Amino acid sequence: MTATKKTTLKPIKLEYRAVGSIDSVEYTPVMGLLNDFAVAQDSPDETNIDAQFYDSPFDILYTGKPIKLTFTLVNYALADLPPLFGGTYTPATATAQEIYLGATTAFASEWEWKVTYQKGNAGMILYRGKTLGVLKQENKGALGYGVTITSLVAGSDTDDTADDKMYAILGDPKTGV
Amino acid sequence: MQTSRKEIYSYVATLFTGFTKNIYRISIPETLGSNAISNGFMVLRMGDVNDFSEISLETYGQLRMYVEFYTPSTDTQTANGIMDTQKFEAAQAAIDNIIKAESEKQNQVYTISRDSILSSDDFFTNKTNSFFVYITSFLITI
Repeated sequence: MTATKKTTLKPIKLEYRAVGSIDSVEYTPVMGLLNDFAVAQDSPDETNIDAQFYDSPFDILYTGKPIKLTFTLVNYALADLPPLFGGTYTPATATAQEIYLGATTAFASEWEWKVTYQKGNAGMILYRGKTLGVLKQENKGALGYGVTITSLVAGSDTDDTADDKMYAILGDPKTGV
Repeated sequence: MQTSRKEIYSYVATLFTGFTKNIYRISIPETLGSNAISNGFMVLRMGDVNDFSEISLETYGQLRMYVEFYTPSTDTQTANGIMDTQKFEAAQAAIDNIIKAESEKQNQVYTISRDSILSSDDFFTNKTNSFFVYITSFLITI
């Protein structure tokens, strides 16, 4: 069967689960994002192997850059925060109010992230995303977290680098038997 | 997010029911009752709801609500356009106070942000009845 061309747009779900999870592991949704969600990858660094007698280099070596997902999380339960941003959460009790104590040092976690799209290809996965959140409130905006997820290579248990993964775009659903 | 416009209109109308019984939604009715002619009336108009979420309706939205109060002029019979300043000022102060009180509350169904920048006034005539209009507005966050 030939693959169809599709324009992929409109994220409808963002979710995460542990790195290296098997297919049956459920993702945890993170839905309360401001409309500034972005996916970006910087151009690779270039190193020229210069030629003495010519204007063009003999060759160019490229060093690739990771993929970054950025968004602002503003609708969350305090209990949702520790897995992503560290710190501790204590529910309300008869004598004390609900409290989230933020991490006192920079806290980064690693998760497998998945974005699901409404139109086009079904979604995108970052197999191992270094997740970092900073507290943020812009002028007249909501108190939230500016989150940056940076892709790392998800290593396999084999020595073959071809088995390592960074990201995937998911297309048509499985056809079944 | 509770985005039903009907509910938002009801919420805002409820704020002002203690101030006037004559509250109309969306626009001015063609026929005004005698109470509205003698004591004035209010019209509520609602702007579009803007959703600030990436994933639809998951974070918060905002809309602007316009409150217009029509104060009868001093001589409604001749529609001579003389402002009843006492009534007008009383209405303005009462409306502003209601909005201020609501904007200071925490965690209501809807959150009102008071701003006086867009307040204005206007003139309106219905048959032989003339009115001075106080217009104010506020942001509702849902």
